[in-house]
Amino acid sequence: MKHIILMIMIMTVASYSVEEQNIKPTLNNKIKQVIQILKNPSLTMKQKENKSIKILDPIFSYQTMAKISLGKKWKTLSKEEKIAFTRAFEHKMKHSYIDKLKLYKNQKVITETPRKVKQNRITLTTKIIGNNETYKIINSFFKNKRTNQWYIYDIKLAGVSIIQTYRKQFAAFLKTKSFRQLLKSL
Amino acid sequence: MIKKFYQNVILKYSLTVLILTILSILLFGINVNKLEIDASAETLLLDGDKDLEFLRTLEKRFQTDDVLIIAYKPVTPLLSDNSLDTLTKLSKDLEALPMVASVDSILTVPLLYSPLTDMESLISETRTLSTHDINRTLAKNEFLTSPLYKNSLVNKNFTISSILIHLKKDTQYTALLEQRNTLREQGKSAISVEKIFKQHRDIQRKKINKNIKAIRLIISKYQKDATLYLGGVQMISNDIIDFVKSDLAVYGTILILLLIIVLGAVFKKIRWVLIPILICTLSVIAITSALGFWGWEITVISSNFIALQLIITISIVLHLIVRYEELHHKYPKASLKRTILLTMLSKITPTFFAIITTIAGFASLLFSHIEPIINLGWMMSAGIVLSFIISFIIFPTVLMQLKKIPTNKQYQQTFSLAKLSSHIVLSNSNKIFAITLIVILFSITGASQLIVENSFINYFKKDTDIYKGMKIIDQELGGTTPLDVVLSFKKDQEDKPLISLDNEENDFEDEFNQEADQDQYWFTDEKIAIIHKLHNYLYSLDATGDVRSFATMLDTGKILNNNKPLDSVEIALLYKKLPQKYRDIILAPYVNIEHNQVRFSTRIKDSTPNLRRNELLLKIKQDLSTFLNPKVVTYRLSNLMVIYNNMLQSLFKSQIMTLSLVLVILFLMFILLFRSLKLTIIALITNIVPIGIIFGFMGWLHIPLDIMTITIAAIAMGIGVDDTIHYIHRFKEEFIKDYNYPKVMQRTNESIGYAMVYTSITVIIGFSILVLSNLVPTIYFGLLTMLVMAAALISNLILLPKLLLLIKPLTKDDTIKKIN
Repeated sequence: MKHIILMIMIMTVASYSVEEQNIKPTLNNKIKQVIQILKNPSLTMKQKENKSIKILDPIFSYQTMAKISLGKKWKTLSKEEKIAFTRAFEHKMKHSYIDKLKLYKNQKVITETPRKVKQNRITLTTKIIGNNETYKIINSFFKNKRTNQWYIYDIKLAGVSIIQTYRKQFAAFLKTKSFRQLLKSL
Repeated sequence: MIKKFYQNVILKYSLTVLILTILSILLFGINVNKLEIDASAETLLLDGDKDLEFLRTLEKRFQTDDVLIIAYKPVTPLLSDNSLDTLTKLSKDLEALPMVASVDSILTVPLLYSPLTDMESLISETRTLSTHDINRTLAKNEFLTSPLYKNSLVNKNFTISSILIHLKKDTQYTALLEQRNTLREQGKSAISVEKIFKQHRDIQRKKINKNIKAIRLIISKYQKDATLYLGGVQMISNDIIDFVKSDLAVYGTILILLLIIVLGAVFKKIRWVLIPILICTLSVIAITSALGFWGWEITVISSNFIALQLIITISIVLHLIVRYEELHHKYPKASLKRTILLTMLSKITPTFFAIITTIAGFASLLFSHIEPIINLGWMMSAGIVLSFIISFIIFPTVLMQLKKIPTNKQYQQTFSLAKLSSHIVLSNSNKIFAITLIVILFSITGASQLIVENSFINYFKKDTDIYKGMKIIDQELGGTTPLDVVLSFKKDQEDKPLISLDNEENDFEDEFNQEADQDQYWFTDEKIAIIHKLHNYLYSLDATGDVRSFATMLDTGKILNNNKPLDSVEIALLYKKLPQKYRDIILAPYVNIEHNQVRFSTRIKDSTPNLRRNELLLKIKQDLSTFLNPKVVTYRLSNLMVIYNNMLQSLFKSQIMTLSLVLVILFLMFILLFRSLKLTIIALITNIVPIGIIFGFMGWLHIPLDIMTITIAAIAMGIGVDDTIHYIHRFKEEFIKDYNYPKVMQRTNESIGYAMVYTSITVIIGFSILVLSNLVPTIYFGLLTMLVMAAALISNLILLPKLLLLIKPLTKDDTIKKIN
């Protein structure tokens, strides 16, 4: 389980907005940076977290992730509600996995060649080599029409999509409770 | 017509008729071999109980299996080398049995915290107590604290452990049962399937019996190393069958012997011992052959029908004997043939009406909705008719072959209860009514306390191994009677109305909707919260012991996750990565994603004092209605606790209904017979009082209404009514002579009273042996039958004549009119 959770952190850390042709080399570089941070004994846990988040932030499209996770309900929200939800969702994502950093135990990380599944979709598979098993992570990138940059919108760990999990969760929640209550819970 | 039939056929060709009758019965008697006992769970349950169907569906859906439990209490500490060695050998012996699929114990269950490690290591390697480097101190701590094991696999003092014997599934049984039920529902004939089903069921029953005997034999080998008790639902039903079978054989024989002794002591004539025994034997052979021929099975409830058959037969024959002796004494010079003819003719009408009303009493059982009780109603009705016919053929034809011998009125001096009763009636007016009033008050107050409550543990005497074993499992290892709660979540639906999206948004929606229904995404926080809430609620109830559900796995996972609850993503990942062996233990029995259901498996502590099952189930339902939102999830209770309670509640309702029906039928019968409203009311009061006493007695002594005791009211009516009809019939005959009520009463008591006394004494002594049974319901049945016989006798010999003297329903004018 620790390896599995760690995967999320490493991949979010390693992701960033990027040009299509640079996805793989940039990703590898960022992985190295994060691993260095995690291995650095002179840094406190808090410092490691902060530095990793700084590397994390730029490429993640939290708004797209928030939008997908809410589904069609997103369209019914006001501008302020959308902003508030995106902020809360971003906070939840980070908060859920930030403490998993301490789980890193010098595992090897390999990145495969990106695969273009559609005109505006690329998947990039990364493997974490554990003691007994190899864990596959599929990063899903989409191309932002305005900026022409690629952003992460979902991560699939061992066949489990993070955003899909949140979609189901929020849909179940909103069956019996209001959007305000969802916001509060996040 | 009847007179001519007796004169020209029965008595004229008495030897031929006797031989033919006996031969016919004996020939038909070969069908006795086909008679079977069926004490499976289905016979104790409601006909077409929907909850039983639901349970069978659940068993398939959640892959539950039949389990027997052994409570293992070693002489050395539980984790000592000696103890583990004994446990290993015992498990091996058990696993070798053909019906055993696997055996689980503290040796084989996975140890997840000994020591605490990462999930990856746990998934790849299963550590058990048998693993070479296992730390026993850590293991002990895990057994005592893990949600998977505490208070179920081991007791809180760590002195007793459960050995779980998983039995092989009988898939053919389920398939045949389903096939039979489907055909029935479709209104098609299920005879051929029924036959195959019964054959298979009988074979399986023998195998189960053999299996339990084999397990007990294995257990006995290790008694010097440990105290071992066997428990489990299959064992309970198996033992009930065994007890019923042995009771039938042992007590049936002893009853006959006791009857012989009592008849000999009362009449002191061999013929008055042999003739009743002959008639009883032939009646029992006839009815059991008829049951075997028609393929009707004896169940736990109807297992006492032979005893009932004997009571009624003895009653018929004793009335004939006493009447014969009376006529013989009165007309010593009359020919044998004439005396016999007069005996038969004078008794045929009251006996006929007596048995008709008895049949009416038992016919009321046909409305109970409980199959074995309905069958008892049919059996008794058929049995009574056979007893009547056989008695009225065999009695005269046997007597015709014998010489007349002087009467022996000594028995009237020896058993002067009849004389005493007439004395009491004449001299204690106020006392009789006062006592009757007290009895009525006793009955009403007692009946209001009647409980429809029972538990399997109370079926067995406290000093039996079965009781002791069940008590340990009940109180120390998580309870005995299973109760399941099943939640069905509503399917997730698309939001309506449809909202328009742009291309990119549609793209994302399509992409995610494609995989939305995959199993790993089923575990939302909402569902997890509901599962935890319900699990904790069930655990908080005093009556519940062990509670298992998906929450058990979540709590275990939390411990492994440094005491942090697993979130939806972690659970989804675990679901994907979990090996099949763990999935079968912690997931499959509790979650069925295909049907959107989760199952909570609990066991009720049967021995909880003052446990009120129906109230408990109602409380659970009410509480669940409060905290579960029906828009999100619905619930249903199931398993043996529910089904057994359905049966008990149905018994209660049917008891009220059958009693009401019996009273109505009796009212009509009495009106038809006596043609007098006053006599009818007197007769009804005379019979209601003994029944009231029974229910009062049961209420005050907290004897529950149960599958055995349910029949007691019908029996009380059936037997009590006989005496009332004979008495009133005789009273009317005597009344014509001098119209003097007190003298008429005296003559009636001192003639018909003897037959009533002998019947009651014979039955009371005969039934006293039932109190030696190992099955508590049988003991109650014996005691209550004795009580009802005594109460009916007193009511018919004292209250009935008293009411007749008080109300004076017969008048000289009316009687003359009727004669004219």
